[in-house]
Amino acid sequence: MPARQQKYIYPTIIAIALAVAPLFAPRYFISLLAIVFSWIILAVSWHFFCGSTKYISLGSAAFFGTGFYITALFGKSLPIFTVILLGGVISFLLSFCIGLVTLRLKGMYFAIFTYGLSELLKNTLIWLETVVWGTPGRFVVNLDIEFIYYIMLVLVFVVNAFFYLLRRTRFGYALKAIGESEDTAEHVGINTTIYKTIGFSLSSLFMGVVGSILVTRWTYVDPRMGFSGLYSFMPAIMTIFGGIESKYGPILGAVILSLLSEILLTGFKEYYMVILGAVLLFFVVLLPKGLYSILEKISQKFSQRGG
Amino acid sequence: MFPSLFFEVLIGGLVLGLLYSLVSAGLNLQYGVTRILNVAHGEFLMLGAYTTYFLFILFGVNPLISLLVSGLVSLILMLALYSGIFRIIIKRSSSIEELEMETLLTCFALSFIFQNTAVILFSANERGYIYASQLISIAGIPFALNRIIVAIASSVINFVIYAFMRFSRVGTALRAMVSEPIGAKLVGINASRMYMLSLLLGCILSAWAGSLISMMFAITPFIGSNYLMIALVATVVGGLGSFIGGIISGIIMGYAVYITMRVISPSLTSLVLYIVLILILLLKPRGLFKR
Repeated sequence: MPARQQKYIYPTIIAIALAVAPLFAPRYFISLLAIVFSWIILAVSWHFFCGSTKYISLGSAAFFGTGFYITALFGKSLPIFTVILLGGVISFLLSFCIGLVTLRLKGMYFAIFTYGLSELLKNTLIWLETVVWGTPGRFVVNLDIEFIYYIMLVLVFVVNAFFYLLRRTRFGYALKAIGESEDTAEHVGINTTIYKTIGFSLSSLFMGVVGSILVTRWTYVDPRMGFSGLYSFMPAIMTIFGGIESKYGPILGAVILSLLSEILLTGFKEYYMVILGAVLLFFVVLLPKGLYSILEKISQKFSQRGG
Repeated sequence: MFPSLFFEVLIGGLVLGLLYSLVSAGLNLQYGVTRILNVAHGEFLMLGAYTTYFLFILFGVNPLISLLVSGLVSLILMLALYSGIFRIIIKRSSSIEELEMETLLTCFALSFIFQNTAVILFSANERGYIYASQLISIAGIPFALNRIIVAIASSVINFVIYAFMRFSRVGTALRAMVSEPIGAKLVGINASRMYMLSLLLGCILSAWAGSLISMMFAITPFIGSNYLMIALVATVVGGLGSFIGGIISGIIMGYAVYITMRVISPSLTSLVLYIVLILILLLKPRGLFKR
């Protein structure tokens, strides 16, 4: 078989297996997979912008939460696909406006700003809910878990393919050039502001979509859930754990860490954050290139021995 | 009614502000010298608060005396963290951006670990003790004595730190590291010793602030995050790396928080903080006091 076709065999098998999984797998397993998928989308989206430009955003929760709350607000009055689309589009527009004014902030300032932004949105919503509207939270429309599962499955493939292709365009290379050296990129004629803003908004778009779908798992939500710091930190942690330099890094990190979180949260709730912190610490200090770099080394060794 | 509210805000805001400037001076010193934005700074505060609490509850140690112990505890912890983690990352990084990002993530990890270890060890319940709570009246307005003790203690510490930074040889070297890192190394300042020193000084300040806080308010394992956030805003307002700016903006933040809590509405406190943070970053990202 030609090597070109061989490349597509495993993804196809995995896709088919995942597509038929709800027919025989238990419901718990399906809902677990849906969560893993949503973390993959968040991590891959985060990685697309932050991995190529090296602008570390700690505000993913702002966009996840925007989608999350759009569904909470309109999920009962509008058709669900409209709401999901709305969640994505509004996250996109929000991050576009934010990007235009803030992406001149560099390094530390950008990280602090994005974190502050998601906290600002959270606190504004908390204030609106408790003081102006007089409810601590609201009931949301519920979707069938199999439905969520299929949307997430499709999205995982769409998001990965989208960012994979985007990376190979002029646009993707421009972002990478910005990450290598922003001054040089500007000198060779890249309009860095526009490229950064659009890159940032595209990654936020999918975070908003994930948020607007995932919210339907709960029956009652408040702003603290959607804008939880977990959604800001986890995409970054997962990507760094998996390996920020590889396109498989965020996927690997999201799968392992979200499964680990699930196990820890059901069995050892109070140790969850301690272990998560320890894992992150270990990887940042001792293996800054992430898990994928080790796998790569091992596979290289095997192929050398074989050849 | 107005003058009494005015005096209450004047003094209440000052007490908070002096505490905030302790925390933000430490954060600022650490970031200015080492380029490590220590988001685990609040956990040293929490550690200081719990040390003082347990010394008071178990042995009846006066909280002012236990400042010595709480400072020592966080000094030892930071020494271990520096030699085990930060020194390695500082040595390894090839650029400031790389150092900033790696240490930021490290500090987030440390913060997760400390906060939740504290929950496991001490439980998430609020704890507090009663110390010097008798009311004394200043200009006809009653204040708890412990507020006044905290105000005096924190202004003394602030003043000593200011004098140290301004007049001592080591303080001058630290300031040189902030404003001219390369020049400072060229004139023979031992950079790695300055890194260690600034981290140690910073975490002692944070632990002391924690001890003082425990005299007035109930403590939980999560207090670190609240104060870190305020210190971060104060630091950004004063300009990251500007030491005096950090102290002044700490006091400004104290008034901002107190006025919002007392005069406007307590539910708006964190909203106001983040609005200040976002506005400063948008309009004057280098801080109010930097030209």
